[in-house]
Amino acid sequence: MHEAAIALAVVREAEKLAKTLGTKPKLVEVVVGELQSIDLEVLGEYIRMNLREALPGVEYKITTEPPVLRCEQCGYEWRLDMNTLDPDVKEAIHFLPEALHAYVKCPVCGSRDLTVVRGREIRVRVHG
Amino acid sequence: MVNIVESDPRVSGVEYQLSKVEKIIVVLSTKGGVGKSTITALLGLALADKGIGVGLLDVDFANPTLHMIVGAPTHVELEEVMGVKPYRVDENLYILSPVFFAGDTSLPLRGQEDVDALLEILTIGNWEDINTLIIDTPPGLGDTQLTLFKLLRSTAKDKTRALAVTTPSQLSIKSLERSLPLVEQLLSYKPLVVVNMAGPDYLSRHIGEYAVAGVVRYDASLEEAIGSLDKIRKTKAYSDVMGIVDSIVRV
Repeated sequence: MHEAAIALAVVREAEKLAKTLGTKPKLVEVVVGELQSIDLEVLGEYIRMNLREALPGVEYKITTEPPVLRCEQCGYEWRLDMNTLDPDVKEAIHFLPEALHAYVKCPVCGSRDLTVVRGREIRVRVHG
Repeated sequence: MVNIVESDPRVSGVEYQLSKVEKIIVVLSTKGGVGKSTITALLGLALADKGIGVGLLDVDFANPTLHMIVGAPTHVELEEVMGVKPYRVDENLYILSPVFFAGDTSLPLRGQEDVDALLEILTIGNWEDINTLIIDTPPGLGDTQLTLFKLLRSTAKDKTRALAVTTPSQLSIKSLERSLPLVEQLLSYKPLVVVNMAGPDYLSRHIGEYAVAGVVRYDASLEEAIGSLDKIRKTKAYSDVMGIVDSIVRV
Protein backbone atom coordinates (compact mmCIF):
# COMPACT_ATOMS: atom_id res chain seq x y z
CA MET A 1 0.00 0.00 0.00
CA HIS A 2 1.06 3.55 -0.77
CA GLU A 3 -0.17 4.55 2.71
CA ALA A 4 2.28 2.10 4.29
CA ALA A 5 5.25 3.79 2.57
CA ILE A 6 4.05 7.23 3.64
CA ALA A 7 3.42 6.09 7.22
CA LEU A 8 6.92 4.64 7.40
CA ALA A 9 8.42 7.90 6.09
CA VAL A 10 6.31 9.90 8.55
CA VAL A 11 7.43 7.87 11.55
CA ARG A 12 11.11 7.85 10.50
CA GLU A 13 10.94 11.61 10.09
CA ALA A 14 9.13 12.00 13.44
CA GLU A 15 11.92 10.04 15.13
CA LYS A 16 14.52 12.42 13.66
CA LEU A 17 12.48 15.48 14.63
CA ALA A 18 11.94 14.19 18.16
CA LYS A 19 15.71 14.17 18.69
CA THR A 20 15.88 17.88 17.82
CA LEU A 21 12.93 18.83 20.01
CA GLY A 22 14.87 19.35 23.23
CA THR A 23 11.90 18.17 25.29
CA LYS A 24 9.99 14.92 25.57
CA PRO A 25 7.77 14.43 22.50
CA LYS A 26 4.05 14.23 23.27
CA LEU A 27 2.28 14.34 19.95
CA VAL A 28 3.05 13.63 16.29
CA GLU A 29 0.80 15.68 14.05
CA VAL A 30 0.57 14.73 10.37
CA VAL A 31 -0.81 17.35 8.01
CA VAL A 32 -2.08 15.66 4.84
CA GLY A 33 -2.93 17.62 1.71
CA GLU A 34 -6.16 16.25 0.24
CA LEU A 35 -4.50 16.09 -3.18
CA GLN A 36 -2.69 13.02 -1.90
CA SER A 37 -6.08 11.21 -1.85
CA ILE A 38 -4.84 9.16 1.03
CA ASP A 39 -7.02 6.71 2.93
CA LEU A 40 -6.68 8.42 6.31
CA GLU A 41 -7.94 5.43 8.27
CA VAL A 42 -5.34 3.14 6.69
CA LEU A 43 -2.60 5.77 7.08
CA GLY A 44 -3.55 6.24 10.76
CA GLU A 45 -3.40 2.53 11.41
CA TYR A 46 0.08 2.20 9.84
CA ILE A 47 1.32 5.26 11.75
CA ARG A 48 -0.06 3.84 15.01
CA MET A 49 1.72 0.50 14.43
CA ASN A 50 5.06 2.10 13.51
CA LEU A 51 4.90 4.80 16.16
CA ARG A 52 4.29 2.28 18.95
CA GLU A 53 7.81 0.91 18.41
CA ALA A 54 9.60 4.09 17.36
CA LEU A 55 8.23 6.56 19.92
CA PRO A 56 6.34 4.61 22.58
CA GLY A 57 3.68 6.55 24.43
CA VAL A 58 3.53 9.36 21.88
CA GLU A 59 0.06 10.14 20.51
CA TYR A 60 -0.66 11.09 16.90
CA LYS A 61 -3.28 13.07 15.07
CA ILE A 62 -3.95 13.61 11.37
CA THR A 63 -5.23 16.90 10.03
CA THR A 64 -6.16 17.56 6.41
CA GLU A 65 -5.72 20.55 4.14
CA PRO A 66 -8.05 21.12 1.16
CA PRO A 67 -6.37 21.80 -2.20
CA VAL A 68 -6.24 25.35 -3.54
CA LEU A 69 -4.97 25.86 -7.10
CA ARG A 70 -3.91 29.00 -8.94
CA CYS A 71 -3.83 29.44 -12.70
CA GLU A 72 -0.50 30.96 -13.70
CA GLN A 73 -1.96 32.25 -16.97
CA CYS A 74 -5.04 34.18 -15.80
CA GLY A 75 -4.44 34.32 -12.03
CA TYR A 76 -7.71 32.63 -11.02
CA GLU A 77 -7.48 30.84 -7.68
CA TRP A 78 -9.92 28.16 -6.58
CA ARG A 79 -10.49 25.29 -4.20
CA LEU A 80 -10.51 21.96 -6.00
CA ASP A 81 -13.32 19.64 -4.98
CA MET A 82 -11.69 16.20 -5.06
CA ASN A 83 -15.14 14.59 -5.36
CA THR A 84 -15.53 16.05 -8.85
CA LEU A 85 -12.57 14.04 -10.14
CA ASP A 86 -12.94 10.76 -11.99
CA PRO A 87 -11.85 7.77 -9.80
CA ASP A 88 -9.01 6.92 -12.24
CA VAL A 89 -7.73 10.49 -12.02
CA LYS A 90 -7.94 10.40 -8.23
CA GLU A 91 -5.96 7.16 -8.30
CA ALA A 92 -3.25 8.72 -10.50
CA ILE A 93 -3.05 11.83 -8.32
CA HIS A 94 -2.92 9.60 -5.24
CA PHE A 95 0.44 8.26 -6.43
CA LEU A 96 1.80 11.39 -8.09
CA PRO A 97 -0.08 14.60 -7.14
CA GLU A 98 1.64 16.47 -10.00
CA ALA A 99 -0.29 14.20 -12.39
CA LEU A 100 -3.19 16.61 -11.78
CA HIS A 101 -1.60 18.83 -14.44
CA ALA A 102 -2.59 16.20 -16.98
CA TYR A 103 -6.23 16.18 -15.94
CA VAL A 104 -7.22 19.49 -14.27
CA LYS A 105 -7.68 22.75 -16.17
CA CYS A 106 -8.35 26.29 -15.04
CA PRO A 107 -12.15 26.68 -14.95
CA VAL A 108 -11.82 30.22 -16.33
CA CYS A 109 -9.26 30.05 -19.16
CA GLY A 110 -8.71 26.29 -19.60
CA SER A 111 -4.96 26.41 -18.99
CA ARG A 112 -3.08 23.49 -17.40
CA ASP A 113 -0.33 25.89 -16.22
CA LEU A 114 -1.40 25.65 -12.59
CA THR A 115 0.29 25.95 -9.23
CA VAL A 116 -0.85 24.13 -6.14
CA VAL A 117 -1.07 26.87 -3.51
CA ARG A 118 -2.09 24.55 -0.65
CA GLY A 119 -3.19 21.03 0.00
CA ARG A 120 -0.52 19.06 -1.81
CA GLU A 121 2.03 18.01 0.70
CA ILE A 122 2.47 15.96 3.80
CA ARG A 123 4.14 17.56 6.80
CA VAL A 124 5.11 16.08 10.11
CA ARG A 125 5.01 18.16 13.28
CA VAL A 126 6.30 16.85 16.55
CA HIS A 127 4.90 18.64 19.62
CA GLY A 128 6.82 18.62 22.89
CA MET B 1 5.91 26.17 26.74
CA VAL B 2 4.73 24.40 23.57
CA ASN B 3 7.65 23.22 21.50
CA ILE B 4 6.99 22.15 17.88
CA VAL B 5 9.34 21.00 15.12
CA GLU B 6 8.15 20.34 11.59
CA SER B 7 9.45 18.87 8.33
CA ASP B 8 8.64 17.06 5.09
CA PRO B 9 8.77 13.28 5.66
CA ARG B 10 9.53 12.45 2.03
CA VAL B 11 13.32 12.68 2.35
CA SER B 12 13.11 9.92 4.98
CA GLY B 13 10.90 8.01 2.55
CA VAL B 14 13.41 8.40 -0.27
CA GLU B 15 16.22 7.26 2.02
CA TYR B 16 14.23 4.14 2.91
CA GLN B 17 13.32 3.23 -0.68
CA LEU B 18 16.87 3.81 -2.01
CA SER B 19 18.37 1.77 0.82
CA LYS B 20 16.99 -1.31 -0.99
CA VAL B 21 19.28 -1.03 -4.04
CA GLU B 22 23.01 -1.65 -4.18
CA LYS B 23 23.89 0.79 -6.92
CA ILE B 24 22.39 3.92 -8.46
CA ILE B 25 23.45 5.28 -11.85
CA VAL B 26 22.26 8.75 -12.82
CA VAL B 27 22.27 9.30 -16.57
CA LEU B 28 22.55 12.98 -17.42
CA SER B 29 23.40 15.52 -20.08
CA THR B 30 23.19 19.26 -20.20
CA LYS B 31 22.29 19.10 -23.90
CA GLY B 32 19.05 17.62 -25.17
CA GLY B 33 18.77 15.00 -27.88
CA VAL B 34 22.05 13.20 -27.15
CA GLY B 35 20.39 9.88 -26.32
CA LYS B 36 20.17 9.80 -22.53
CA SER B 37 17.04 7.68 -22.54
CA THR B 38 18.47 5.37 -25.18
CA ILE B 39 21.71 4.88 -23.24
CA THR B 40 19.68 4.38 -20.03
CA ALA B 41 17.60 1.68 -21.72
CA LEU B 42 20.60 -0.02 -23.38
CA LEU B 43 22.61 0.00 -20.18
CA GLY B 44 19.66 -1.35 -18.21
CA LEU B 45 18.99 -4.09 -20.73
CA ALA B 46 22.68 -5.06 -20.93
CA LEU B 47 22.90 -5.35 -17.14
CA ALA B 48 19.61 -7.24 -16.96
CA ASP B 49 20.87 -9.67 -19.60
CA LYS B 50 23.86 -10.33 -17.38
CA GLY B 51 21.43 -11.52 -14.73
CA ILE B 52 21.36 -8.36 -12.63
CA GLY B 53 18.02 -6.99 -11.38
CA VAL B 54 17.69 -3.53 -12.92
CA GLY B 55 15.16 -0.78 -12.23
CA LEU B 56 14.76 2.10 -14.67
CA LEU B 57 13.30 5.36 -13.37
CA ASP B 58 12.29 8.20 -15.69
CA VAL B 59 12.26 11.58 -13.93
CA ASP B 60 11.68 13.64 -17.06
CA PHE B 61 8.20 14.81 -16.08
CA ALA B 62 7.82 17.12 -19.08
CA ASN B 63 8.68 14.51 -21.70
CA PRO B 64 9.10 10.94 -20.50
CA THR B 65 10.08 8.53 -23.32
CA LEU B 66 12.10 5.80 -21.59
CA HIS B 67 9.04 3.52 -21.37
CA MET B 68 8.65 3.66 -25.17
CA ILE B 69 12.16 2.36 -25.76
CA VAL B 70 11.72 -0.67 -23.51
CA GLY B 71 8.19 -1.33 -24.76
CA ALA B 72 6.20 -0.57 -21.61
CA PRO B 73 2.61 0.55 -22.22
CA THR B 74 1.35 3.91 -20.96
CA HIS B 75 -1.40 2.38 -18.85
CA VAL B 76 -0.25 -0.33 -16.48
CA GLU B 77 -1.47 -1.82 -13.24
CA LEU B 78 1.18 -1.33 -10.58
CA GLU B 79 1.31 -3.55 -7.55
CA GLU B 80 0.97 -1.58 -4.31
CA VAL B 81 3.47 -2.86 -1.78
CA MET B 82 5.15 -0.27 0.48
CA GLY B 83 4.57 2.26 -2.27
CA VAL B 84 4.37 0.89 -5.80
CA LYS B 85 6.45 -1.81 -7.42
CA PRO B 86 7.87 -0.90 -10.84
CA TYR B 87 6.43 -2.47 -14.00
CA ARG B 88 8.25 -5.55 -15.24
CA VAL B 89 9.28 -5.41 -18.91
CA ASP B 90 11.65 -8.38 -18.98
CA GLU B 91 13.02 -11.09 -16.73
CA ASN B 92 15.35 -8.77 -14.81
CA LEU B 93 14.21 -5.37 -16.08
CA TYR B 94 11.68 -3.09 -14.39
CA ILE B 95 10.56 0.47 -15.02
CA LEU B 96 8.73 3.29 -13.23
CA SER B 97 7.65 6.23 -15.38
CA PRO B 98 5.50 9.34 -14.80
CA VAL B 99 3.34 8.22 -17.74
CA PHE B 100 1.97 5.41 -15.57
CA PHE B 101 0.27 8.14 -13.51
CA ALA B 102 -0.14 11.11 -15.84
CA GLY B 103 -0.78 9.28 -19.12
CA ASP B 104 0.68 10.22 -22.46
CA THR B 105 0.92 13.97 -21.92
CA SER B 106 3.42 16.63 -20.95
CA LEU B 107 3.16 17.91 -17.41
CA PRO B 108 3.58 21.70 -17.26
CA LEU B 109 5.47 21.81 -13.96
CA ARG B 110 7.09 24.90 -12.52
CA GLY B 111 10.24 24.62 -10.39
CA GLN B 112 8.86 23.57 -7.01
CA GLU B 113 6.36 21.21 -8.58
CA ASP B 114 9.13 19.50 -10.53
CA VAL B 115 10.92 19.04 -7.21
CA ASP B 116 7.72 17.75 -5.58
CA ALA B 117 7.11 15.27 -8.39
CA LEU B 118 10.68 13.99 -8.09
CA LEU B 119 10.43 13.58 -4.32
CA GLU B 120 7.09 11.84 -4.65
CA ILE B 121 8.14 9.30 -7.26
CA LEU B 122 11.29 8.51 -5.27
CA THR B 123 9.19 8.13 -2.10
CA ILE B 124 6.67 5.72 -3.63
CA GLY B 125 9.01 3.65 -5.85
CA ASN B 126 9.61 0.34 -4.11
CA TRP B 127 12.85 -1.12 -5.56
CA GLU B 128 13.08 -4.23 -3.43
CA ASP B 129 14.76 -7.13 -5.30
CA ILE B 130 16.41 -4.56 -7.60
CA ASN B 131 20.21 -4.45 -7.59
CA THR B 132 20.89 -1.43 -9.80
CA LEU B 133 18.65 1.58 -10.23
CA ILE B 134 19.28 3.69 -13.34
CA ILE B 135 17.74 7.17 -13.28
CA ASP B 136 17.09 8.90 -16.60
CA THR B 137 17.09 12.68 -16.08
CA PRO B 138 15.76 15.46 -18.31
CA PRO B 139 18.31 17.55 -20.22
CA GLY B 140 19.92 20.45 -18.44
CA LEU B 141 21.03 21.27 -14.94
CA GLY B 142 17.94 22.72 -13.28
CA ASP B 143 15.60 22.01 -10.38
CA THR B 144 15.19 18.28 -11.08
CA GLN B 145 18.91 17.55 -11.40
CA LEU B 146 19.99 19.79 -8.53
CA THR B 147 17.41 18.29 -6.18
CA LEU B 148 18.20 14.76 -7.31
CA PHE B 149 21.95 15.23 -6.77
CA LYS B 150 21.37 16.71 -3.32
CA LEU B 151 19.04 13.85 -2.36
CA LEU B 152 21.45 11.20 -3.63
CA ARG B 153 24.41 12.80 -1.88
CA SER B 154 22.52 12.88 1.42
CA THR B 155 20.80 9.49 1.21
CA ALA B 156 22.85 7.23 -1.08
CA LYS B 157 26.24 8.87 -1.62
CA ASP B 158 28.41 5.76 -1.52
CA LYS B 159 26.43 3.86 -4.11
CA THR B 160 25.68 6.65 -6.58
CA ARG B 161 27.44 6.85 -9.96
CA ALA B 162 26.87 9.40 -12.71
CA LEU B 163 27.05 8.79 -16.42
CA ALA B 164 27.14 11.84 -18.68
CA VAL B 165 26.04 11.33 -22.28
CA THR B 166 27.24 13.40 -25.21
CA THR B 167 27.35 13.15 -28.98
CA PRO B 168 30.64 13.86 -30.80
CA SER B 169 29.28 17.33 -31.65
CA GLN B 170 31.52 20.08 -30.29
CA LEU B 171 28.40 21.86 -29.02
CA SER B 172 27.42 18.91 -26.85
CA ILE B 173 31.03 18.36 -25.73
CA LYS B 174 31.43 22.02 -24.80
CA SER B 175 28.22 21.85 -22.81
CA LEU B 176 29.54 18.84 -20.85
CA GLU B 177 32.96 20.40 -20.31
CA ARG B 178 31.25 23.34 -18.66
CA SER B 179 28.89 21.37 -16.50
CA LEU B 180 30.79 18.26 -15.40
CA PRO B 181 32.91 20.00 -12.73
CA LEU B 182 29.68 21.27 -11.19
CA VAL B 183 28.08 17.82 -11.36
CA GLU B 184 31.18 16.35 -9.71
CA GLN B 185 30.99 18.88 -6.90
CA LEU B 186 27.26 18.36 -6.38
CA LEU B 187 27.45 14.56 -6.35
CA SER B 188 30.89 14.22 -4.74
CA TYR B 189 31.65 11.80 -7.56
CA LYS B 190 33.56 12.12 -10.81
CA PRO B 191 31.08 11.39 -13.61
CA LEU B 192 31.96 9.01 -16.43
CA VAL B 193 31.26 9.96 -20.02
CA VAL B 194 29.67 7.94 -22.81
CA VAL B 195 29.97 9.30 -26.34
CA ASN B 196 26.82 8.33 -28.17
CA MET B 197 26.04 8.32 -31.91
CA ALA B 198 29.75 8.34 -32.68
CA GLY B 199 31.14 7.92 -36.19
CA PRO B 200 33.60 5.10 -37.01
CA ASP B 201 36.60 7.45 -36.70
CA TYR B 202 35.78 8.82 -33.24
CA LEU B 203 38.94 8.66 -31.12
CA SER B 204 38.98 11.00 -28.14
CA ARG B 205 39.17 9.27 -24.77
CA HIS B 206 38.65 12.36 -22.65
CA ILE B 207 36.15 15.19 -22.37
CA GLY B 208 38.13 17.79 -20.50
CA GLU B 209 39.51 15.93 -17.48
CA TYR B 210 36.76 13.30 -17.58
CA ALA B 211 37.40 9.81 -18.95
CA VAL B 212 35.31 8.48 -21.79
CA ALA B 213 34.07 5.16 -20.40
CA GLY B 214 32.65 4.07 -23.69
CA VAL B 215 31.80 4.95 -27.26
CA VAL B 216 28.48 3.90 -28.75
CA ARG B 217 28.41 4.03 -32.55
CA TYR B 218 25.65 5.68 -34.52
CA ASP B 219 23.18 2.95 -35.35
CA ALA B 220 20.30 3.70 -37.72
CA SER B 221 18.63 0.38 -36.92
CA LEU B 222 17.99 1.51 -33.35
CA GLU B 223 15.07 3.70 -34.37
CA GLU B 224 13.19 0.70 -35.71
CA ALA B 225 14.03 -1.33 -32.64
CA ILE B 226 12.30 1.09 -30.26
CA GLY B 227 9.70 -0.76 -28.23
CA SER B 228 11.14 -4.24 -28.80
CA LEU B 229 13.83 -5.58 -26.46
CA ASP B 230 14.53 -8.45 -28.85
CA LYS B 231 15.19 -6.06 -31.73
CA ILE B 232 17.31 -3.83 -29.49
CA ARG B 233 19.46 -6.83 -28.57
CA LYS B 234 20.32 -7.23 -32.27
CA THR B 235 21.58 -3.64 -32.72
CA LYS B 236 25.23 -2.56 -32.85
CA ALA B 237 24.45 0.03 -30.17
CA TYR B 238 23.42 -2.75 -27.77
CA SER B 239 26.67 -4.65 -28.53
CA ASP B 240 28.66 -1.48 -27.89
CA VAL B 241 26.95 -0.89 -24.55
CA MET B 242 27.33 -4.56 -23.59
CA GLY B 243 31.06 -4.11 -24.24
CA ILE B 244 31.39 -1.19 -21.82
CA VAL B 245 28.85 -2.10 -19.17
CA ASP B 246 31.40 -3.71 -16.85
CA SER B 247 33.68 -0.70 -16.87
CA ILE B 248 30.75 1.60 -16.12
CA VAL B 249 29.37 -0.44 -13.27
CA ARG B 250 32.70 -1.41 -11.72
CA VAL B 251 33.87 2.16 -11.07
